[in-house]
Amino acid sequence: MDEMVQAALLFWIPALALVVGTGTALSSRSERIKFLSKIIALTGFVFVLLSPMTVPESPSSAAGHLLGSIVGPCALLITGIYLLAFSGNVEVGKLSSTDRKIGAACTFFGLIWFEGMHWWTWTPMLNGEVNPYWLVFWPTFLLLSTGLSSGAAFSLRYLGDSRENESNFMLIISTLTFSLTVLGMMLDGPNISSELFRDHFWLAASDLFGIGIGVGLAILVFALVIWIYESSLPSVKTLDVPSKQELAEAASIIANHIGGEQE
Amino acid sequence: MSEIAKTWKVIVMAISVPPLLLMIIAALLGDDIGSQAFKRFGNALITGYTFCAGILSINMFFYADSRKRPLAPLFGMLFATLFGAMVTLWLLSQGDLLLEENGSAMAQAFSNLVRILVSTLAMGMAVIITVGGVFVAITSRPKRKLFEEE
Repeated sequence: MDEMVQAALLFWIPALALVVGTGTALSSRSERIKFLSKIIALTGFVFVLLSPMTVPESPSSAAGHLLGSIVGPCALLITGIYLLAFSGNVEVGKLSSTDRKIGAACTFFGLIWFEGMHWWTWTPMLNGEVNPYWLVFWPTFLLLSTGLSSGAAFSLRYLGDSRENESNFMLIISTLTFSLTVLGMMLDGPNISSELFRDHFWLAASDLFGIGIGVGLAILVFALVIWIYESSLPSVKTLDVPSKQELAEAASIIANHIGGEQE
Repeated sequence: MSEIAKTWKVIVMAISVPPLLLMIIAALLGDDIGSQAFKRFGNALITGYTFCAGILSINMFFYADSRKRPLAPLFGMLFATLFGAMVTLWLLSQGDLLLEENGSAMAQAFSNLVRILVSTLAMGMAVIITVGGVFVAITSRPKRKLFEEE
C-alpha cells in the first residue's frame, strides 16, 4: 500500500475520529450518540497509539509515540487531582481518607514521572532521538502552567473572600513550574541540553501567541458571520394595538375565568 | 478606574508577567532563533485560525438548529475555513517564508496540524493542573463558619 494512504488510514483518520468523537461525546444530548462517540474516540485513540508500529515511516506517528509516552503520567495526575479534590470538604460524594492518600501518591508519582522525562532517562525517544513533539509538549505545558497558576493565585486573593491560603498554594505551583523552566534553560539533562530547551521554549512561546491570535481571529469571523446573517433578517412584524372591541372581548373571557365560584 | 477594572488588570498582569519574565531570562541567556520563532508564530497563527474556524463551522450546525436551519451562516463559516486553508497552503508554498524542517508545503501543513494537537494537549493539561489545583486548595481547607450561631 502507498505510504500516504497507509498514513491516512492508520494515523490521520483515527486522529480525526479521536478529535470528532471526543467533541461529540462531550456536546451531544443523546445518550446513544454519546456512547457511539466514546467508542469512536477510543478506537481512534488506540490506532493513534499504535501508529509508531503500524506506520513507522510517517513523521506524524511521532505524535502517537508521544501520546503513548505521556498517557501514564497524565492519567496519574488527573486521577490524583480528582481524588484529592473530592476527598476534601465537599458536600456530596466525599471520598475516603484512603482515597486522599492514593490521590496524593498518584499526583506525586505523576509529577516525578514528568520530571524524569526531562531530568532523567525517561525522555520519550524515537529512533535514538528525543521525540520532537515532546519538545513541543513540555515547554508549552510549563509556560502556560506558570501563567495560569499565577493568574489563579491572584484571582483567589482579589476576587475570593479570605482565600489567602489557597492563593499561596497556587503561587507555590506557579513558582515550581517557573523554577523548573528556568532550571531547564540553565542546566543540561541527560537527553535534552539547556540550549535545546531554550530553543524550544521560544518556539513554544511563539506557538502559544500564534494559536491565541489565530483562535481569536476565528472567533471574530464566527461572530461576524452570525452578526451579518442576523442583521440581514427582516425585522419582526409587530401586531397592531388591540381595538376596543378586542379588549372588551378579552376582558369578558378573563372575567369568565376568574373568581372560581364554579369550581 | 473602578475597583473591578483594577482587579482584572492585576489578574491579567499576573497571568502574563511570569511568562514574560521567563522570556527575558531566555533572552538574557542569549540565543538567536528569531527567524525560527517567526516561522513558528506564522505557522501557529494560520493553523490555529483554520483549525478553530473548522471547529466553529461544525458548531454552526447547532446554531442552525435553533434558527430553522439557515444555510447562509453555515456556508459563510465553511467559506471562512476554506479561505484559511487556502491562505495556509499559499503561504507555505512561498519557499522559505514559513517552511521549517519539512520538504514540502503539504508536509509542513500536516506537521502544523499535529503540532497544534500536541499544543492543545499541553494546554489542556496546564488548565487541568491549574483548575484542579484551585479545587484541591479550596476543598482541603477546614469548613468555614458562615454564621456564629452555627
